[in-house]
Amino acid sequence: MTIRRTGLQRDVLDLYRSLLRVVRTKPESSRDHFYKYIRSQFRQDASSVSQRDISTIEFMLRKGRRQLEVLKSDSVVDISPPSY
Amino acid sequence: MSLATIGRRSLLHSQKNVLAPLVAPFHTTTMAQLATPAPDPVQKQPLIKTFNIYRWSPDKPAEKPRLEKYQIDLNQCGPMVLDALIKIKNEIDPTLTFRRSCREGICGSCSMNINGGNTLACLSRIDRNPSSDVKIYPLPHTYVVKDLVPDLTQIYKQYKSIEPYMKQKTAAPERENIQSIADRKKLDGLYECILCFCCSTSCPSYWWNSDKYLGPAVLMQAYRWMIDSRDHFGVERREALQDPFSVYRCHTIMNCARTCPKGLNPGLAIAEIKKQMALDG
Amino acid sequence: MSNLFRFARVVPRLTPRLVQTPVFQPARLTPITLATRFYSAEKAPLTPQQVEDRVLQLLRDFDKVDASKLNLDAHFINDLGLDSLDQVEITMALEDEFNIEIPDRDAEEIMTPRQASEKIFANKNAM
Repeated sequence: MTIRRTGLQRDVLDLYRSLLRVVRTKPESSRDHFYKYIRSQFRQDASSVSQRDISTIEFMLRKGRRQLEVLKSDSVVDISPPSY
Repeated sequence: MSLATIGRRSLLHSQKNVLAPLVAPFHTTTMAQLATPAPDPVQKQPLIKTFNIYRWSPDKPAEKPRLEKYQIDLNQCGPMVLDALIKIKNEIDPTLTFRRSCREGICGSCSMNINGGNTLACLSRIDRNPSSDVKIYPLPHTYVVKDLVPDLTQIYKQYKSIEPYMKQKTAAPERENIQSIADRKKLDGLYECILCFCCSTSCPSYWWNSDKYLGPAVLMQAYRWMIDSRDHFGVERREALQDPFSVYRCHTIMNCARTCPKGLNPGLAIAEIKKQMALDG
Repeated sequence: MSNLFRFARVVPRLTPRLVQTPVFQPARLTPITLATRFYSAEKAPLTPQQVEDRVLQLLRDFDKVDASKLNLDAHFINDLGLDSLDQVEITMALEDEFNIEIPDRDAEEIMTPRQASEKIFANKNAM
């Protein structure tokens, strides 16, 4: 019943989960902005890249992890949600 | 001489021509002299050199990296590879991206892989033989931010980890920290490092273990603080490196010393660290 | 405050988060929240039925889920047409709902409401 995943898929989902967890540490009033931002980034990237394009996905993962480090900082309290 | 070749005269020559009539009237000049134009400077035939440059853009991550060809007339260009890169960016392709600042080998920004060797573009002369191309890549085994710009986050983190600043156990002296001439001499060959990371990115040990091995550039700076007579934490600095990876992944391949654009020898510094660590017991 | 500590002593498995780190969860420390916490912890532990009902309700509220296809064994991806990102969101929502933390490796196994209920029921901190 469970779905088998590659290491890369797991890395992407773990990053998604970590990002969502970070949002819980942010002020309640801005959490929705963070959620919208994170969701739209992942949906957008997922629809623009082929599953087999591993090097591109790895690049996006590195970019995402860098963003995670930035978002973790306590000084980040809000984000401007995507305009679309 | 065709109009086309006149158009290609170097900046230097055309400047002379422009200045000549301006300066001349201040001297005693006869009408006869003004009437005859100054003889044309010797025309240089264009010397076309091809540059093959690595291109990759994060804006189109699904597109594979590629080599792009650019042709430059070396007689219209400065002597160094950096001059050519700047000329390409200014005149042919403004999207070409690279780091540069001082253009005289002291900032360490323009390190890249030129014709197979890591070096500074600003200290690297263009080979004037047009039969061979110049190949330019970013520093090897680094993640690329864009084109020739490498991501040095990991190396900077490692550099930070060795605490590259003076640490003392006594209260700060009222005046300068005095150092003997002999002690100061120990820093020669170490303090000149500009952290361009040509050495670390040329080191096979660093390629395979960049997560745990500190690499030649960072280790040489670690050593620079260990032997500074004004620093009091030499033993602790060495203790911090006491594990199988931080230092001991250096297998004296010595690519670091060969590639260093400043002529330094990080391999020797690492050997000194190993020796001192053995003596610390 | 003294009330809280008296209760805390009798509650055998109060979540560590609640006891140790009030700083990170200021909203949860309001007296009202504490009262409900105490009430639910004092109350008999959750029954499997209660867990299942709340899991199903949570999924029904999830706007991408077609409530008519929802049942305890509906596979999130194969039956409900969700994707792996949605699955992550559901497990995160379950964490919030039951005030627990599901480890990443456990969370990725949860593919049906029944599996979710079992994992949550096995977690003694769930409330």
